[in-house]
Amino acid sequence: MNSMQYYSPNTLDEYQKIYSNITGKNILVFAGGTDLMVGRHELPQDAVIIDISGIAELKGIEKKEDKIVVGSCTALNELLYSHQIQNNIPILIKAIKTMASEQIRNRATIGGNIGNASPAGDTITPLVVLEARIEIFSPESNEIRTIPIEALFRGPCASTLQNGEIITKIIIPLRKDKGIFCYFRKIGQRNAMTITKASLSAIAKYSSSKIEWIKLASGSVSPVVKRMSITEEFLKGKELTTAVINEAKEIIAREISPITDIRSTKAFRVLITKNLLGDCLYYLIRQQNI
Amino acid sequence: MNIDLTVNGKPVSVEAEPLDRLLDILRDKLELTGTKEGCGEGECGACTVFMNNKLVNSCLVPAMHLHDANVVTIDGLREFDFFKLITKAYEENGAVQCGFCTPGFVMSTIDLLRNSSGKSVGDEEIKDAFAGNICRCTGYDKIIKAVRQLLTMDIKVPERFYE
Ligand SMILES: Cc1cc2nc3c(=O)[nH]c(=O)nc-3n(C[C@H](O)[C@H](O)[C@H](O)COP(=O)(O)OP(=O)(O)OC[C@H]3O[C@@H](n4cnc5c(N)ncnc54)[C@H](O)[C@@H]3O)c2cc1C
Ligand code: FES
Ligand code: FES
Repeated sequence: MNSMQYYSPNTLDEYQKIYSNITGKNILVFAGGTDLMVGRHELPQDAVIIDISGIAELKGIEKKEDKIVVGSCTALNELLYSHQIQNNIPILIKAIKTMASEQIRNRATIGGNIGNASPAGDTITPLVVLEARIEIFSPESNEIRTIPIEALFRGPCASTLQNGEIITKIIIPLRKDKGIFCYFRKIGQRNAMTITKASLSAIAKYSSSKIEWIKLASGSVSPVVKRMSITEEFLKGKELTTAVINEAKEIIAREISPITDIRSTKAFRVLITKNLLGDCLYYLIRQQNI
Repeated sequence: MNIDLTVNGKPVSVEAEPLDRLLDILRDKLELTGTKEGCGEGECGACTVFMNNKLVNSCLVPAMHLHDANVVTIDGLREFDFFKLITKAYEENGAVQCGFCTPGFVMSTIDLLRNSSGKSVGDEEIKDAFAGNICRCTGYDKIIKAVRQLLTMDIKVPERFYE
């Protein structure tokens, strides 16, 4: 392996200083490395690595009044074992449980999962339905801005981050309404350790046999993860009859835009997405009847 | 770059490039060859070690993350009593065939035994604990049998090794 230039700042301030000294260079932000190490031989050889995993400000989980703030370099297993997340954001727990393995989750960060911008990133669909916001630090302007998570993605594995910009925090709003239903399921080659062919995240409020509101996001079936707003709008205020569920499945099939790739075909992805929505809605009904 | 770390309780100093893998440092520089390379991509778990007391794939850990790290490999655990009990259970249950995956499974077994002391562990939890380990020979049943047996034995695994 060649000698790559590398820095490991301990604070955002140091990060900014390093950035100013190497302007014009191609910067490779490195966190847990579970994505980057796999492709380490394909990394641009002239890139300068900045390892952000030692920046203390980017770690930890904090509950504020109406939100939970997660540092981007927090490992997936820290989230999985966090009582704050378990008690307040169960959908994220459901998703992380399906991700990789104990070994990987000890190293993989949530910021890396988002920053990778893969349509198959399993923390992304839950964060999209939770309407999470992403805090970004720009070393160029030395400023921090906050954007809705959906605005971060430009295309498959392409984010809107500029050279050197890093995700610093993930801000997850907490809902006031009680008894929120949540659903996450992914379909891959097998149950454990699998890359998502298609997934569905949902949160919903169901009362007096009707859907008060529902938020849906499908993974791996569009160039970027986005809300299924037409399907959401259709389901709003409806009673979940078989006819309604069947119609919703047809609507979501039209709302996604899957492709055929090495992991699956377009037709199969459409079929699984429809079935995932059906599974989600029937599960919702069963939950209400307990 | 020069890196100072602790491996199996001993301070060591190695020369490495930032993205060199912990796996290669262990095997080629420190001759700790109990840790194996299967896939080199985080899938198979043959390279599993403890780093700062957490289970990790050494094929995915870059040298630059090793400053002051505490790494414990299978070669550093052989003398512990719990290790001998694990070896025995694996042998008795036919859980080792070609043996290539075994060091990784044993590391995950140690982590599971440690995390589950005093708790009851179901088959789902056992499967989850081994999601990151692949075996092409045994069909897993024999390994799971060995692990189930070990879980009934109230084995004491220290909270930390060499610290
Ligand atoms: C065997 C295996 C199984 C896996 N299973 C799953 C799975 O089931 N589901 C899933 O979703 N993923 C899975 N992954 C992918 C990977 O583990 C995750 O995407 C992980 O969360 C990446 O985090 P990291 O810290 O390791 O990222 P890194 O490898 O350090 O970085 C990944 C990318 O994000 C960028 N980046 C990192 N941090 C930031 C930041 N703070 N701001 C901006 N950009 C940043 C990097 O520049 C890089 O492009 C798997 C990977 C492996 C090897
Ligand atoms: S060699 Fe590291 S997981 Fe396979
Ligand atoms: S015993 Fe051969 S791979 Fe597991």
